[in-house]
Amino acid sequence: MARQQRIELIRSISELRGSAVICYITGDRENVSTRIAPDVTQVFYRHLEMYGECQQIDLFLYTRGGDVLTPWRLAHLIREYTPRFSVLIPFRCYSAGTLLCLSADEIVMGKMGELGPIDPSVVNAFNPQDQNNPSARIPVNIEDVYSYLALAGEKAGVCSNDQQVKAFTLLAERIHPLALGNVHRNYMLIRSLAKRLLAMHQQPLKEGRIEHIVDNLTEKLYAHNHMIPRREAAEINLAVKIPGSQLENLIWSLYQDYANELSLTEPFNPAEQLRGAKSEFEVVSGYVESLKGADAFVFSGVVERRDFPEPGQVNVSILKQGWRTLCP
Amino acid sequence: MEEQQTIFRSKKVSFSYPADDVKYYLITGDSGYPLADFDFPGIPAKNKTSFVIPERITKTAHTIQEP
Repeated sequence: MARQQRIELIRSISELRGSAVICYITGDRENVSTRIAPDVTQVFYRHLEMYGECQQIDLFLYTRGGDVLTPWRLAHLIREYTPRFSVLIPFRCYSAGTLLCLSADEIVMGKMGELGPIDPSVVNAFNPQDQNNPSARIPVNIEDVYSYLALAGEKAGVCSNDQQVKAFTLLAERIHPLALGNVHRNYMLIRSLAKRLLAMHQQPLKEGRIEHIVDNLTEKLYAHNHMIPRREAAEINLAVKIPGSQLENLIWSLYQDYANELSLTEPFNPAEQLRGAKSEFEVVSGYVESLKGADAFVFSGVVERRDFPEPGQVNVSILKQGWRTLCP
Repeated sequence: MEEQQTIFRSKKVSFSYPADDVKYYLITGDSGYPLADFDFPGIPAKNKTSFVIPERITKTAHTIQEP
């Protein structure tokens, strides 16, 4: 669907909700994904400036997550323009996306809406090397580390100081101490961020509710890929709102439009771009869009046939990647 | 009354747990998250603050589409 038709869907949602709607899609297309990251902040600023101050801003969000600090910055930026902030969740909204939802006064979840735990995996130069790919680092999930220590204490009967030191030493032999330091810093960071984001609500949350939500989203779901449907999200006290059928249909139609536009269900295959021995290509893998304009995250590159041992193989170079204003 | 006997014969059962393919992606400070198998001559950050990490993205390809 072209932007013009998508604009009609955004306009209908906006009129139904009495809000300014901004759509943020980080594409999860195989081979050319995008994620929540700080470079989107300026893109949001452009859209927010075009809207000016609003009674309510609705963020239509589809993401598998990304950088955990960006939601904090985005939430503050959005709050500069509105006293009331809501998110509309058609489908996946995991990890850093869920974190961003915590700052919203209202989380409108369709039947297919999914949130996820906020238990990030962290990576730095000291993370363990991947045995199958020496150039790669294996991310360490912060809850896995704390779960190991809990396992040692609760199940293996590690209780004396000596035993605790032994359990920790065993861990430090496998994971570099500076990687573990990074894990601990992020363990503290994610809890602190979640609490501060929940404290941004227009109506302050009751005492104990913030801790309840944070505990559930960090350590009580037990699996990083746990998908939280709207009923479960409401049970853990998130500010979930069930949309009426008209809104439900609109947000699902809008999601499907982006999914088609970004070909989310088809892996990006550079060989299909090849015409002759060498071809340039551009592929869009993310959107920030509103009634005021559209920005896309674009990968630009070159695909060329090379003399690989196996026929049909190609070499792909990404020459440029970044946000680009499409209109106005 | 005659007792009915059920005879269980042992039979080997195999379970298959298909795993997602692991792919390696390049993570930098920005929104791009491309396949690490690509070359990145135009992205100078590759050698500074970027990492190649394994990713088990649940397959989104070939999901059921509405007719």
